[in-house]
Amino acid sequence: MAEEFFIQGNEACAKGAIAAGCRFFAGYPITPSTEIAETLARELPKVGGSFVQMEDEIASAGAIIGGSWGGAKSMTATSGPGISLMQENIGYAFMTETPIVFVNVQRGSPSTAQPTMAAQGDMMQARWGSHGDYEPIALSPSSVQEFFDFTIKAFNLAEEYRVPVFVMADEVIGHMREKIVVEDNIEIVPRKRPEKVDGHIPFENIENGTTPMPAFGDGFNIHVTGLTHDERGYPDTNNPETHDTLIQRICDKILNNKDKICSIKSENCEDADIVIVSYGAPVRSVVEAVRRCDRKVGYIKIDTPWPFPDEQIAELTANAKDVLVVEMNLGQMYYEVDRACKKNSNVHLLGVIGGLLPTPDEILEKIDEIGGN
Amino acid sequence: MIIIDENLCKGCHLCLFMCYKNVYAISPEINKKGVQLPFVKFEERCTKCGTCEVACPDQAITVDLVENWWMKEDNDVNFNPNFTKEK
Amino acid sequence: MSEHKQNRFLPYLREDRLPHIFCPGCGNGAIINAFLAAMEKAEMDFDNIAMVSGIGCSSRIPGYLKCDSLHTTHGRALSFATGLKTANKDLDVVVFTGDGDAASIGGNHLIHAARRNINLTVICINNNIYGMTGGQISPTSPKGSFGTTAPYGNQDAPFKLAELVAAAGATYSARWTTVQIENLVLSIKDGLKNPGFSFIEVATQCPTYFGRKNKLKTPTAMAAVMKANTVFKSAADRMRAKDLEGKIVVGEFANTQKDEFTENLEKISIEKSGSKTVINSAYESEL
Repeated sequence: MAEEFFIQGNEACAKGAIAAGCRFFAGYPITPSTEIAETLARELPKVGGSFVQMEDEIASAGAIIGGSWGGAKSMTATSGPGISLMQENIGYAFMTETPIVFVNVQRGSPSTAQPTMAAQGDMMQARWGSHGDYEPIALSPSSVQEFFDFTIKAFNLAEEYRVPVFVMADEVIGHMREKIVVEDNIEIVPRKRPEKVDGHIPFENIENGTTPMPAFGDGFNIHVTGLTHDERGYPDTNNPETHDTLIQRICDKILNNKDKICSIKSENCEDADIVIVSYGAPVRSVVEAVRRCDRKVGYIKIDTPWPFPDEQIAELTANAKDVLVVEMNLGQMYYEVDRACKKNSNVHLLGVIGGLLPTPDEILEKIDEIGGN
Repeated sequence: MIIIDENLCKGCHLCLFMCYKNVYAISPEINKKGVQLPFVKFEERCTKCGTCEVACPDQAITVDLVENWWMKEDNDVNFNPNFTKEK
Repeated sequence: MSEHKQNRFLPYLREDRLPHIFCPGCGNGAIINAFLAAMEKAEMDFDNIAMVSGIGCSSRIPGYLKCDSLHTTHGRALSFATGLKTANKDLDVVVFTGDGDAASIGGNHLIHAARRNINLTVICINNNIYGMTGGQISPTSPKGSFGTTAPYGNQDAPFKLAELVAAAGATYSARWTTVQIENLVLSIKDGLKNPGFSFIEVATQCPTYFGRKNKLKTPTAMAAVMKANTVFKSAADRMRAKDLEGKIVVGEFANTQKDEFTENLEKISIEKSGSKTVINSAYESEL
């Protein structure tokens, strides 16, 4: 029997984390994500998990990486200023291929800006926030149900590809209350343990790029370092070849599996004149605007902003004269969409900042404006 | 017997400083790594306390103890380093 | 003919990586030995030890030891160790850190880990300088000492780490130098056995940078000065503050018992779920 709940987005995220097997949470209070920490502080001990309130976000990010190597699925939840502090350790997690989940309930930015208002200003930070080349996975929920589902999916993707995964929610989704349905059979991906201790190569350059991950205390005696390391995990910082092999593998394991990771939803795009591209909370207004609009308008909802679904977007916008990107920043994914469309269509932006969702009326107005050209 | 591993020694000479009995001396020759190795000049002074072994930063010194080195001859116990364990 | 005996510490080391990167005369190697000797004395299972370290010369140590080791970001070793220990409380987690790592960039993590009294053994190798980046002064550099960023002498008062950590709530805190190697071994042994936050500060020599900048060019000269400047805590308690300037006070600064962090978490878990905190749950397909 599927269960139904009427809960807040942040609570749904916490519920999803526990359902996905998260047994370690380290966090630091920050509006608007605090309810995730509060819920997990209450719920984790009931399933044998551990909750730690750390001294700052840097320590939270460190603790969950440690927790993950300790053999627990781990996550933290924060907002813009917190994720900015975590960036160094996020880079470390990519370099050491540590499966962890970061929930970013986005708020008005930059700096402390608007703690209780929604925004989508951290999308590019999720992509390029830490220094260097890496390929992140990010999921963007647009309802409370999706916040629950995507949190589970985030854990599964993290374990499957040994990579940090971001859940890029926003204040609207985090604080909104909606009905969610929790199915009985939730598919979770357990971590794979390497088969043999003798001759185990912890960071082997294998074809699909993702080697099984041992936990500390399993007897594998692995050395994990953020320095450029060879297949054995030993630092080898002066060899260009080692660095190239390592970083290529870390990037390729995501890029080569893009078709499996990327997910979008679309409606009426095939014969539409205008295709609206959106993700996260603004999708709710986009759906309503498309319903009300009497012209040939379709929409694409991006579930996984990173890795960016280039091919799908190019395909779906091939016949559209105009493409409109609706997002709550002054143009971040807009440039990605523009790049994906390869100049086949005119790409427009409706960027709304200030903390309120773009309304269907605003979107319709923008459609009229485009139609007037 | 004290063994000094020529490949690991970096020539800091802390063994000379740390040894309570001044067993070591510095060799006048420079080896192929450019290190003036220490050598055991007065082995008869050595009490096999093992301080040099622990203090050597490069794990180059091995104080090779014969089994039951604290036994003088036959069963005549001179000093039992494990005496605290017995009681 | 007696067979060739191996150095007693080599079996614990990743021999394919030796000789290590430490400069001639660096105290880090001796501290590896002291730790291994202490571990043998404490009769601990080497396979159950997990090491965590930050960035710096001292933080390279875990890379040479044949156990699970996490070489993390600068200053954050203690936060990683907190996560590791909480996720798997059966592990014996040992943190190797330096003075810049623990006292400067990671100062907040240090006092909070001590406040939580989480069962970690922290060996803080204090060489009074940033060695890996080339000899900049650190928060523990003595007043008046020279470094590349203090060409006219350091004007700031140094941190007293062992006292700081004791005040922050650690149940074991001590300071020794590499010259008193026997005391150091016993102190690390006590720290490993202590079921709580144990902090052992080891004052050590850095002949390459601290020595060169401060007219103590050889390891032996540094060791001799360190030995001459050492004052035992029992004697220091009876000395005036003025006389203690520039001295290294060695001894134990805290040795008490308090509730331990992961034990407390387990107590809550038993109360709320009826079972201990789960270990290695990520590998389970059903929970």
